[in-house]
Amino acid sequence: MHITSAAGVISLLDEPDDELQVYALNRLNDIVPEFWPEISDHVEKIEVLYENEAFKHREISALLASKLYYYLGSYEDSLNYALCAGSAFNVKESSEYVVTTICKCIDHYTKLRQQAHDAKADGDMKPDIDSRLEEIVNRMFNNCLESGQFKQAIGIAIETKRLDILEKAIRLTPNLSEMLSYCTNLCTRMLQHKGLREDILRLLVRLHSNLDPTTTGATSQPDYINICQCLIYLDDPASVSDILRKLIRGDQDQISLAYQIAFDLYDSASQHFLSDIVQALKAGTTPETTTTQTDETDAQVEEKAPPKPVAESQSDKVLRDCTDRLARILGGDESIELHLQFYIRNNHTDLQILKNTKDQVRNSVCHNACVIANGFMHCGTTIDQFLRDNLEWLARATNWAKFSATASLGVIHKGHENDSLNLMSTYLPKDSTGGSAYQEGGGLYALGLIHANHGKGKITDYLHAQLSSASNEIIIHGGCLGLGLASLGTANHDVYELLKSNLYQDDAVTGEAAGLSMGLVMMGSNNPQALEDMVAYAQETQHEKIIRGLAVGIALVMYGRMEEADSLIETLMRDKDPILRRCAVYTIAMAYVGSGSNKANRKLLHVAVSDVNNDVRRAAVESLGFILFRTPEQCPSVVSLLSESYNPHVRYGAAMALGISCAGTGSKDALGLLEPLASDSVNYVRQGALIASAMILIQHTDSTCPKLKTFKELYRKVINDKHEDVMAKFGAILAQGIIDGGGRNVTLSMQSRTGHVNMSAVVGMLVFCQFWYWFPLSHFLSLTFTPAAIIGLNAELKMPKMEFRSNARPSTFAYPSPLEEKKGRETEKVETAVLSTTAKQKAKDIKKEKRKASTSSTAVTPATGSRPPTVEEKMELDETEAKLAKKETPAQGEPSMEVEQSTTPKEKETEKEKEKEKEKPEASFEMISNPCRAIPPQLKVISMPEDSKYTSLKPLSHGGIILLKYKKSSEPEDLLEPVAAGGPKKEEVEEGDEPEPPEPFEFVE
Amino acid sequence: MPSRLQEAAKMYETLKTDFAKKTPDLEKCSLHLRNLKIALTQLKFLPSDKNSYSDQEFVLARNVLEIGAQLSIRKKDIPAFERYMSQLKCYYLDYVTEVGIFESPYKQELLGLNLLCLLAQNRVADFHTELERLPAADIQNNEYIKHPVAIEQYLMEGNYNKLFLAKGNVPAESYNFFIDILLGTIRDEIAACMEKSYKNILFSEALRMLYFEDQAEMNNYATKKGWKLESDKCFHFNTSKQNDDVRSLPSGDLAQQMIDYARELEMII
Repeated sequence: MHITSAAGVISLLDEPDDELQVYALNRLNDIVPEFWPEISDHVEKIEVLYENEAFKHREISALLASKLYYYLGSYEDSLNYALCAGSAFNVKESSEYVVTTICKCIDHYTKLRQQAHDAKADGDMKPDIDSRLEEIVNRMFNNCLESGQFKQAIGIAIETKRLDILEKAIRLTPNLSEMLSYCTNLCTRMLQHKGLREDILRLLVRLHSNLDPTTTGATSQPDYINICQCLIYLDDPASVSDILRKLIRGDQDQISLAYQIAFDLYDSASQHFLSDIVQALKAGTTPETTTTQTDETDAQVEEKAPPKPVAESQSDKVLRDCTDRLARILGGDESIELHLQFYIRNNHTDLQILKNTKDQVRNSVCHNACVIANGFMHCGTTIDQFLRDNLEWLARATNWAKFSATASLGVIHKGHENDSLNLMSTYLPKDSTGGSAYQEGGGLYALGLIHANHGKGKITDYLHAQLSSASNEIIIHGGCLGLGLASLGTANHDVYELLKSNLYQDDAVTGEAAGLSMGLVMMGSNNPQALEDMVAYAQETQHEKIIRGLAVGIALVMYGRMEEADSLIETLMRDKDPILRRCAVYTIAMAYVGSGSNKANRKLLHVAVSDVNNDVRRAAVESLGFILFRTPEQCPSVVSLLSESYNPHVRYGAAMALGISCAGTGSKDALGLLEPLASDSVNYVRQGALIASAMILIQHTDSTCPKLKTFKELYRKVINDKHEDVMAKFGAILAQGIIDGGGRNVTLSMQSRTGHVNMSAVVGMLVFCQFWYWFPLSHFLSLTFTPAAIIGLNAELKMPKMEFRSNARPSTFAYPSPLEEKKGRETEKVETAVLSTTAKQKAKDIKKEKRKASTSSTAVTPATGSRPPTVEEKMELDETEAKLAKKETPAQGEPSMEVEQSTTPKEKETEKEKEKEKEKPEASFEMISNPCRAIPPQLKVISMPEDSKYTSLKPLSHGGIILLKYKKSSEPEDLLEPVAAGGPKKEEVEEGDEPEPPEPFEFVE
Repeated sequence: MPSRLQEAAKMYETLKTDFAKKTPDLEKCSLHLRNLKIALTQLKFLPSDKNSYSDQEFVLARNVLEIGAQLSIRKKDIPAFERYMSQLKCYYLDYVTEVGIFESPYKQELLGLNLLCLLAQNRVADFHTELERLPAADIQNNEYIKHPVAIEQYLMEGNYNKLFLAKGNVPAESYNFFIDILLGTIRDEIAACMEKSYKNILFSEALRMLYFEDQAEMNNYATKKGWKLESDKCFHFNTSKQNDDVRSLPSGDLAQQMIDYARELEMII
């Protein structure tokens, strides 16, 4: 039975009786999907019915009207009538109409809530929200909650800013802690609106601290670690210090927890935040605030041994010790110290790479690059052997190159704070004249790099004094940079004034550094006075260099301020001066760093394709990387078109954006885009692509990223190629430095382990990008290097001897094997061997040799295969076949050559099999000793061994510094002796000599 | 359900007997009808799916609607008639092919009436749409359908004379109602034409052209139209009034526009 027309039913609508009309409406509601074109002619009739107050079934007619408008594509009217339909609109129905309308409903509601929220912020009148709309959304929420779709409910609740629902949803969730961390994640990664984010986080903190013991089971203790993470976002140091104070009054475990939180805080929070906590802690616990270093060590001893009788009661004493120790942790002293230890212990730099590069270097630019790359490679390891071994070569650096070379010492000794002044003494300005200004300026800059973001007291004072007394513009340049680095983000007024006075000298060299450093000092402060000074001067001065310095400085001041920066951005964006427009672009990058904000992206993309100035366009594309670095998987798709731009500057920018956002991820997509750029026809595009690829591939092994080998090969090729352009060579040399950075123990990351934006890393990255204009600024990248480490600590903050279990084959995450000496010569041979003619010839030879082969195969080197063995194979060989490998060591470095020359395919086959056999017995896990390198993908598979004497306080998968709980308190702990700076090799060198220096080398001008 | 059906059937019987009387009490019938329709909504009225209905219900509903249609003609209630018709059409045209139910004796008559009804209101397009749905054999042979089709033809030809003659041979008494309306419509048409065609016209001529039988009717009509009989026994029409409507074409503007388009087209190419 099928009707061809709805006319019959429609005609019933005209009947004078209500019953008939209702009947008609109900029928029409059923047949509307099929007959809407016919029925829609009569929509007025239906509307009239709805409008008729006397009509008892208005809701049905509203529903019908809504459906009609839906089919007609007029969603707004449809929504309106759906709302009028009230309960007749069944949200549980699964028809297309209902689903679509509910979507519209929620969208509309979200929009209104957003407006209401904005209006409240602006103090305007609130637009009314239809109560019926709210009703439908509420019904939807209830449905979600009833059917257990909590995540959906939470998502929409956040979207619509309904904190009440959010709370309800979280409370109803069976797995509370998981949901809370999900929410925290959502909040910090997805939410772009600052105010709302704070509201939600506050709610989360409340929920965290009220965790109901009945729902969470035995662990009734609130999750302090997560609470503190939320509080960092909320910028609420007072609450954090309350928690810490409470914890250190507890038992040993809780004290350890307090330390753990403190380490996490140092990892994530700003200096300002930390110093507030320290102050609050000190004020709250100890009457006397000064404790000397010796006290500290005494206290540590005391804690282990039975306490000596002291004047104050024991609990007070313990409390004070804990506070002091917390203060040290929060001050970063502990972390820096530990990381330094880690770097020194685990240094795996391959000097051969540098040596090879050095031998290829022909001109000053590459020379400079090589020195910088050396800095990166040894960043934080305190090993300056390469420089010392090559004093004569180094002496070729003159003028600014010397400045840069001296500064690179700062990179190498990064974090080596105790002896920094001693260490650099030869290069620092002395009262007696005669030192080279470049060297002295570089020395001051180096000091800043050593103390970057951690230059309290002494160093700042020292730099301050040096800077105020200096008269040479080069020394001032270095001094400004050093001071800016040391007092990064402190908003120190004295420092700022000093820098400003240097800026006002209107000298190009000084002004550039001063402008940049003013930004460093005032970082993220949004200080109106500073902004006014800087913008006004930038508009006034004639020196392009100064404007450039100020441009970066201004951007830094707006770091992380999001919407607050908008008006400034607008003004700068309209400026005639392209450098100031570039400044606007950087300001967007800094203000919205890591937010993934669509608004910011849109603006940047617009500038990237519309500005008339190449520099501005390049900067705009680069800046995309900063906005997107939290979601690196998005970046390749955003810049893929730009990377094919006709404009080389835009292509360069795209490469850098990929490098910045995907740093350390090994993203295949990003590398796919970079590959063509690395062979671009324009030299600086190649440079950018090479550097970016190194940034992406840092801390990856062949097994985590198969492209690694191709790119490493490419760097070498570019460096060795005589005809390659200097620019590209520069890029390749830096790339080599970056990829093996920090003794192969660092990764590049602009966010902390807990997902906070790492301020100093962002600065480092942004200023590093300025190497385009000023090579010495490339040293800033050392700020972005973060140790890829797991460092276990016991309750006394000492590293115990213990092991972690890595549940992956040892070869998967192994360090690359070192290069061999004769490399260069032999690779050439390999190349000739692969020619097709020789291949044919060889095929013939092979046949001949085949017969012999069976007899001789035993003599074959085990370290070779038909393809150059991957790192894993080599590594695994090292381990399992130590004896054989020892015999064959010379062959290991240049396997490919050996293959071509001495093995026949037959032999290769047997070789392969052999290797496979060896592969099988390889352990499926590996024990690595504390402190160990753990690259990001490895963190997932690391666990505590079952028989370990320790348990960790937080999951190992977070990495970083982790406090351990000693299970067998009866036995004494086995501790690691701290190694002396300068590397384990020189252990015989006495501590006193340590800063014994690269000093003997004198620059020959 | 069956009890409801029986109830409705009983109501239908009373309605039928009431309506079959020589001079039915129309008010009473419509009251019955109203109750019946409400009763029908409790049953399967105007179903759109195959299952769950019975032939009995079906026939009952159809019969009720037929009576309704006839009743509304009697009451000269055109909208009501149209409503019944559009409901009936479902029964006549949609369901009939699938159900083995005998055809209603009134089917053709009512369909014909419907056509005539459309003609009477000058809804020629609807008329043809309706016609499309009827089988060709019916259109040519069926007494009831043939009549309105012929009328439509006369109308289109302007053969008003035939129309007035057609009044004499209606197939059913109920047709007269619409024929009268139709003639009225035609008269209006003619009158409108006369106003445009003549400056003045003799009373006797007008009488003939408008097919009036006697002078009284003519006079009534003239006053309705606002025609005044002058002393020369002529109706005078005010011609100047009609000229107001004729606006001059904005030829200059149009030409300008066309030239602009042409120029733009050229630019595009």
